[in-house]
Amino acid sequence: MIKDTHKLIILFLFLGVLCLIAYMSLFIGSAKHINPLVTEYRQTRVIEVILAGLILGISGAYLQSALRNPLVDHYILGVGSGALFSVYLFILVSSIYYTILPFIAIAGGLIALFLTISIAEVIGGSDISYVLAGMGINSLFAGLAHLLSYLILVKNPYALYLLAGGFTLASPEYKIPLIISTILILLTYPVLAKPLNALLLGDELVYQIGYNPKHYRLLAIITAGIFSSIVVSYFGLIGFIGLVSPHISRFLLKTSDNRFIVPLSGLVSALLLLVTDDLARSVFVNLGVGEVPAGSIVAVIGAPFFLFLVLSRYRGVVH
Amino acid sequence: MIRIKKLHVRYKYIEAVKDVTLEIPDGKITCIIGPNGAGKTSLLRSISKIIEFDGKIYLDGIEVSKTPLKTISKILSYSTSVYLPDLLSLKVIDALKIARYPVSKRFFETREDFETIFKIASEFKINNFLEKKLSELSSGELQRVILAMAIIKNPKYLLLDEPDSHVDVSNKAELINILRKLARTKTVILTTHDVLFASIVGDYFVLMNNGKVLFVGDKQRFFENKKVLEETYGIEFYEVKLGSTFIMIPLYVSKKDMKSQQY
Repeated sequence: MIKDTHKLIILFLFLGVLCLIAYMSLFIGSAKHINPLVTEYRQTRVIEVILAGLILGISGAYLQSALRNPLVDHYILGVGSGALFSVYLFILVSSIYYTILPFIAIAGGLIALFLTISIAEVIGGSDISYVLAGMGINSLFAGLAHLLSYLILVKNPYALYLLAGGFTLASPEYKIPLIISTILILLTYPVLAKPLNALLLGDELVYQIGYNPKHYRLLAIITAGIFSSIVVSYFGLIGFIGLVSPHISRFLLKTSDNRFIVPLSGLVSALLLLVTDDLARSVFVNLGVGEVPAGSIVAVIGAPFFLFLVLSRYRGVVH
Repeated sequence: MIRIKKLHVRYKYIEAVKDVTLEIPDGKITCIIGPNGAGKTSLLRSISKIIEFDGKIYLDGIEVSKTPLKTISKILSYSTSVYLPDLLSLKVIDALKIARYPVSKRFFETREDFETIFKIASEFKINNFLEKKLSELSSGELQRVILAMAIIKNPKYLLLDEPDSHVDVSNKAELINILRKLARTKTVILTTHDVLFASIVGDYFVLMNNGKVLFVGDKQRFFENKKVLEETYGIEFYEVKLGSTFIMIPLYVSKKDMKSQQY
C-alpha cells in the first residue's frame, strides 16, 4: 500500500472533479426560475453522459489490455459501426422496437468485433493488423449504415442522430438500462483487473500466474463489446474516447496497472464526454451554430491524438 | 520430484514429444539439452500445464492435467523471454507485482508483498531500475528481471526456457552464480543449446532428440555417455578437467572432418 497511495489519490481527485463538473452542468447558466422540465432534462442528460462515458472508457481499457494493443477501442475495431448498422437494419425491417434495440446492437457489435479479430489474426495478429482489419470492417458497416440511414429517414428521423453520436436523444427511459450496464461492467472489474495485467506479459507467462489467458481475454473482449454496443444503440457512434482515455490514464499514473487504469479510464472518459457535451449544448448553441453532436467534437480531438500515437510508435517518442 | 509417464505432445502436423518417461530429482539443477526441435520446450510447457498433452505428469504426487492452474502456479514457475509492445510496456516493479499474484492474498499488494519484492529486487541487483520500463532494459538487465519474476512467488520448481539465450559471456558467469544459489532451496530445470554451459551448471542431464529421450543421468554418467552426445549432435566433444570437475567443450567439427586432418 505504501507505494500506491498517490494513485488512489489521483483517482479520487478525478471523481471529485467529475462530481463538480456534473454539478456545474446542472445549475450554471440558468435564470433564477428554471422550468422544472429543463432541470429534469438536464439531470437525465448529465447522468446518461456520465454513465456512457464510464462504459466507453472501461471498455477501451479492457480492449487495449486484452488484445495487448495500444491502438484499439470499440470504434476502431468496428464494434460501433456494426452495432449501428444492425440498429438501422432493425428499424428498417421491423415496426416494433425501442426495448429490444440494445440487444440488436449487441448482436451487430459482436459480429463486427469477431470479424475484425479473425481477420486480424489471419493477417498476422500484430497491433497494426488489428487497426487495418478494423478499418475494413468499420468502413463496410459504416457505409451500409449510411445507406440505410436514407431508407429509414421516413420511419424514424431521429435515428439519423446516431451517425455522429451525441446526447441530444438522451431520454429518461435509457437511464435504468444504462445504470444496470454500468453496474454489470463494474462487477467484471475485480474479476478482470489482475488477469488483464498478466495478459500484458504474453500468453505463456499468464498460465503460470494461474490464469487461462484464452478465457479471460474472451471475457474482457465480450464484456467491452456488449456494453459499448448498448451505448451505441442509444447515443450512436462516439469514437476515439475509448482510445484516448486509457492512454491519458496511463500517462497520468505512469503505470499500466489495470487495477488503477480501468477505473481512471472510465472517469477520464466520463469527464471528457461531459465537458464536450456541455460545450455542445451551451457554447455552440450560443454562438448560433446549433447543437453540434458531442461525438464529432470528440472525434476532432481524438483523431489527431490517434495519429500522434501511431507516429510516435515508429519514432519511439512515447514509451 | 517430477515424474513423467508416457508423455506425448502433438501439434497440428508434428509430434513434438514421443512417449517420454522420466523422473527429475529434487534440489538439483537439471539441464535438458538437445538439437533444435528436440522437444525440450514442449516438455517444459507440458509440466507447466501451458500446452495440452497425453500421458501423466506428477508434481510431488499431484497430477498436472487434473489440477487447476491456480494450484500449479503456486508451486511452479515457468519463465521464458518476454516481448512487450512499447506503449503498453510495464515497469519492472509492475512486472514483479504481477508475478506475485499467485501468492498475494488481497486485491492490492500488502506490506508483506512489497517487502518480498524489494528483497528479491536487491538480491538480483535490479533495484536501481524498478521504475524503468521493461522495453528500455538491456538484455542482461531483462534476463535478471525475468529470473526475479520467476522466483518472486517462491515456487518449489523453477522451469527456465533457455535462460542463457542472448546473454553475453560475463553475464553468463553471473547467471551460473544465481542458478547455483537458487538450487540450494529449489529444483531448477532448464533447457539450453550450450552444452558447455550445461556441463558447468548442471547436476542432472536429460538429452533429447526428435521428441525422444536418449539419455538421463547425473554428471558422472553424462560424461561416460559422451558417445551418445556426439552421435546426437554429429560433432566431436572434448572433456577438460577443471579443478575437481569436468567440463564438456563442443568442438564444432564432425568426426569425418577431424580425420581428414583439416584441424
